Amino acid sequence: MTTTTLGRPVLLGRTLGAEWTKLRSVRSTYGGLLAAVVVTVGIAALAALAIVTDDQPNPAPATQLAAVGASLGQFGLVALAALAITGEFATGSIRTTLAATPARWAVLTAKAAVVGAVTFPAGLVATALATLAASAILGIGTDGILAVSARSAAALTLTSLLVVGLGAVLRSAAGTITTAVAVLFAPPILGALVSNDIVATVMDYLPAGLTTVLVGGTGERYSPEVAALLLGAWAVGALAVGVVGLDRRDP
Amino acid sequence: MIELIGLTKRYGPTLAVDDLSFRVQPGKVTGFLGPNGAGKSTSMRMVLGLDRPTAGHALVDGRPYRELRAPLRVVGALLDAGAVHPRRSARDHLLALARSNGIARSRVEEVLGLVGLEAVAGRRAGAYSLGMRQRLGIAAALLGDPGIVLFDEPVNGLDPDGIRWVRQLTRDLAAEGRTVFVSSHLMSEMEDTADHLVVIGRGRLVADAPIGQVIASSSHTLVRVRTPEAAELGRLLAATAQTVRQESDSALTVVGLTTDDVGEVAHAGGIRLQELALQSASLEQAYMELSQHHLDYGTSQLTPQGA
Repeated sequence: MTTTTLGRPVLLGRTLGAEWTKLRSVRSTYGGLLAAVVVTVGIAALAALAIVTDDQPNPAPATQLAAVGASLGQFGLVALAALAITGEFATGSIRTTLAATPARWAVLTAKAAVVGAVTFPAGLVATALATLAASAILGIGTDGILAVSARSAAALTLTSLLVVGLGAVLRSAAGTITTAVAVLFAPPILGALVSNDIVATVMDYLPAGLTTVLVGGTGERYSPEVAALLLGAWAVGALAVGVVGLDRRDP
Repeated sequence: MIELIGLTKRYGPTLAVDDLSFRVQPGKVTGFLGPNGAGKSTSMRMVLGLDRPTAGHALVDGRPYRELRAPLRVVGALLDAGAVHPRRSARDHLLALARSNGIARSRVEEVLGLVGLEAVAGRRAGAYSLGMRQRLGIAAALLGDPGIVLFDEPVNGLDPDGIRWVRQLTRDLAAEGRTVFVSSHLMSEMEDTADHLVVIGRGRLVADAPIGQVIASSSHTLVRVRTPEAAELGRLLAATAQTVRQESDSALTVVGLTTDDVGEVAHAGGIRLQELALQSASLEQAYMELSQHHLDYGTSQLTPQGA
């Protein structure tokens, strides 16, 4: 029968269509995107205003302020990614989803893909707007706006995919968002407190350290490109564990 | 066809489903009966590849559900009031399901019309009453025009009109040759709808038989006979009947024989009958008796039908 011989590309295409329909049809998606843009631009603008008010000489580049904004604004996207998967467990609609698409890998791959498809442009726009706002306030140029926006968007997207994987494993929205905040914020704080080479090395290879290098554009141990690959590996790893979890544990 | 083969589900120390084997045949409505907590929903989730069996397996049209690439075209299921995201509209919910299985968009409007939700299809499902969510769940089950439908407690939350509608729908689906498997904890619900019954208790099979046979086998189904020679007829019937009670000089009640059987015996013995009447048990009585027997002895009274 044709239903069993359906190829993987067709199956994935259909699942992408379904996941896109689901993502665009709940309000939390738009809330997450709006929060990400508003917070990223707002923080960058506030930082620029503080610099102007203090009349500091040699202000930081506008792109750097935008990156600071994005490091907080990313939680809108973290929430979006977390809710895209945990919302299904909370409402029981995961059973409808898996009954319609028994191939767990296809469900999680498609979900990650559609989340990535909205977080990348959102990250790009948020970082670019934040750079423009900061430069306007500071009265300086927007050097490197495209490169920084692209790197920031890449970091935000890979982090969102990591969160989709986390959500598939943890299944609860609160647990997933709390874990994501811990993963993204705790290592830099710990790293600042502990001066130990091994700890510092480990920190550099955790998602937070990789994000810093990727967005900042320079690193001591690895290049931004390698940071992107490693962050991608974290995301793929989390998604793989998520697929195994969906396969093994009853929804 | 749905096939369960030694299906077993254990949650820690609790055996929710215990070595369950039966087949659900096409062209008729099969009622899946048992008290709450008997393992009906768990069994259905295992058929759908949602819960993993501890042992055994289930097949739909001869294949494990998880191997199906477009399952909505093979099996339509209504589980816990549709399991819908409350912030998504009914139309978008169905549209996502349609896209996942390569079903035409026009079919979404068709099933919305079929279940009578077209006027409210743009509203978010969270604002729906339980009855409306059941209708949405049934719409989702029918989306792929499947040959097998599986409804878990479909009349929960429905008003009398809705209950009549579901009954008619299940009868129509079976008449079209589909396999229709409907669970309920209400016996009365099955009396008018089901052709065949699968009864489970504490996760085990209690009965798997045509509804007529379930009722006929009940000790509440009996034959009343009036004859001037009650004692003599009673003696003759005792050889084959399960129980014969002499109610008076001229009246007997017989359990375990049909009116035909009693008539034959009387005729052969040259005994004149003045009245011969069948008193059928209600499904409720038959079910209570089955459940009671099962709890007391832990065995099946009605053996599964051979393929």
